[in-house]
Amino acid sequence: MEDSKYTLAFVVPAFSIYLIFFILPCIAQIFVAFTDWSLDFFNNPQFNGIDNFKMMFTDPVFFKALTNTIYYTVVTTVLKVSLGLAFAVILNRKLKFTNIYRAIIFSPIMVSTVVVALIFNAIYHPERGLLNLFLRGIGLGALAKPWLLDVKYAMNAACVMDIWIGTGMLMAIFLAGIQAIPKDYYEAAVIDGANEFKKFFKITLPLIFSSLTVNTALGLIAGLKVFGSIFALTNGGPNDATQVVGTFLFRYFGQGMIGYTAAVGLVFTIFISLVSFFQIGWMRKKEVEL
Amino acid sequence: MKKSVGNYILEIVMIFIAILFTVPLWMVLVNSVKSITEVAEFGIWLPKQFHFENYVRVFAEAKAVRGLLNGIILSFSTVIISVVFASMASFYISRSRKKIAGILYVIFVLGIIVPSAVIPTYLVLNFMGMINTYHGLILVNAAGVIPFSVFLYCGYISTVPRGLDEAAVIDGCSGFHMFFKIIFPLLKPVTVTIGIFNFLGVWNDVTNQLYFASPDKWTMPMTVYSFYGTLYNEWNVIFADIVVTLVPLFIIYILGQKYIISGMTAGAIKA
Repeated sequence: MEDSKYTLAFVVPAFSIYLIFFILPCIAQIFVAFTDWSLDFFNNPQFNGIDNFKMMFTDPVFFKALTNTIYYTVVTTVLKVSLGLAFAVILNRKLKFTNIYRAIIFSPIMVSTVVVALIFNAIYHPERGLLNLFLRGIGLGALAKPWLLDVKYAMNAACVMDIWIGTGMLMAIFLAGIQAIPKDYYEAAVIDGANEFKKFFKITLPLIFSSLTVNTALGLIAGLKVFGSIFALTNGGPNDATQVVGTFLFRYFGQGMIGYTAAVGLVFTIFISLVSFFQIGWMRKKEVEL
Repeated sequence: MKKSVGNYILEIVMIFIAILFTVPLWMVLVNSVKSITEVAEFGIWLPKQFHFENYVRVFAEAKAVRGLLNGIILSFSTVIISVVFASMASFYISRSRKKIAGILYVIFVLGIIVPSAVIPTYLVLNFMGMINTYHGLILVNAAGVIPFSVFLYCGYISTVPRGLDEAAVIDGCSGFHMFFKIIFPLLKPVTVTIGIFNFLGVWNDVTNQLYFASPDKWTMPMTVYSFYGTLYNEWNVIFADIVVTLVPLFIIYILGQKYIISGMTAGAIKA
């Protein structure tokens, strides 16, 4: 037998851990979602049919959290992907400090999201914060706002923070894609009289479309799953203006409502999976067409 | 000629952007050595006098050392488990021609997209008596990072020639012996990448620590968060604590930058 030296025993340790601490909870979630399980009556969970789902779809805070999450995901994904691509195209040229720019733009991804959130708490601080200090300093004091305390600005302030965190990672992935394009494609295009824009749209973009697919997927998944950064920045406030599904789950978990949080988690797991599969499937089809 | 003018403009644009990306960290650094009165505004100018005693207070009060030790215990254990087990699993998956290998690959890789079910994980840990334990956190963290590790390892192992396996077997090596003696050392580049990734993932993890453990098991970044809760207005000390947590990351970044970027992009391109 050709395969005798490759035995399933190789897979057993990794799969056991993955099975018990990832797959099993995912399956358990389906059942727990239909119970009234709570921390207060921990040893006596009862099936309660679709009560949790009824509660969810009549809960205005849940809808707020859902729409906020979608808004946050769309805004951050669009901006991170476009900025990441722009930086990658620029930093593919030979500038004086290309490597330093790359290293700087990439570095925030290394920092824990709760620490980043504390730093941005300081930047957005109404009286002491750097942003308002700067605005007052250049004579635009009228534009200084209590960024995180005003429902009008808090969500966009959170989006800006995420763009600071995540753009560099997408830039690095785009850059690798661009660097894999053979140089003679561009040389041929120059001979044919193509300008920079033509070169970008006719050569670069089609050839890095798989990076675009991956980066869009990364942006969407990161946005939909967001928790730590918002938790430490605003914890969903003010008045649920930045409430996302991640912080919503943690709040109800804190109140001991296991069944209800499992139901919300289940709906959201299905939502994220569908979004990812459709996005990747759709963009893969486009890739082939190009 | 035209091109060089364009480059000058881009250079200026990028310097501006680089400053924008650096300012938050610079702000943290200068304000971490200010006095409590000077830190009434988080300006970016250097203080009149350097107050390094802020750092003394971080080590005395902030549980930074505890966070450092917790981080080392949790991160290193998770890295070792995930690297050893994920590379073994990936070896079987990318070498075996049986149908089950393909199925296992799909099951593992699905874990990259599907979010973990946090609340039922709490129930599983609770059932096993592992709430607020190091081994509980390590196993949940490992389960979380195994999918991406398997994905990267499988991509890399497919570039290692099969002939090496055959040769090793002819030399009388058994399956496991052959893998750890011959194949595993060849995976070093991707192992370093996965190791750094998983280390950072655990070090910077929020969800698992918040849901499954109390502050005495938290890693450094999370201890900053709890410290922030205890001294609301002494921002100079908070900034000092942030700097302390950034130092290990900075060292890792300088040493491992090559592996971090190359590994991440390799994985993304292959996807």
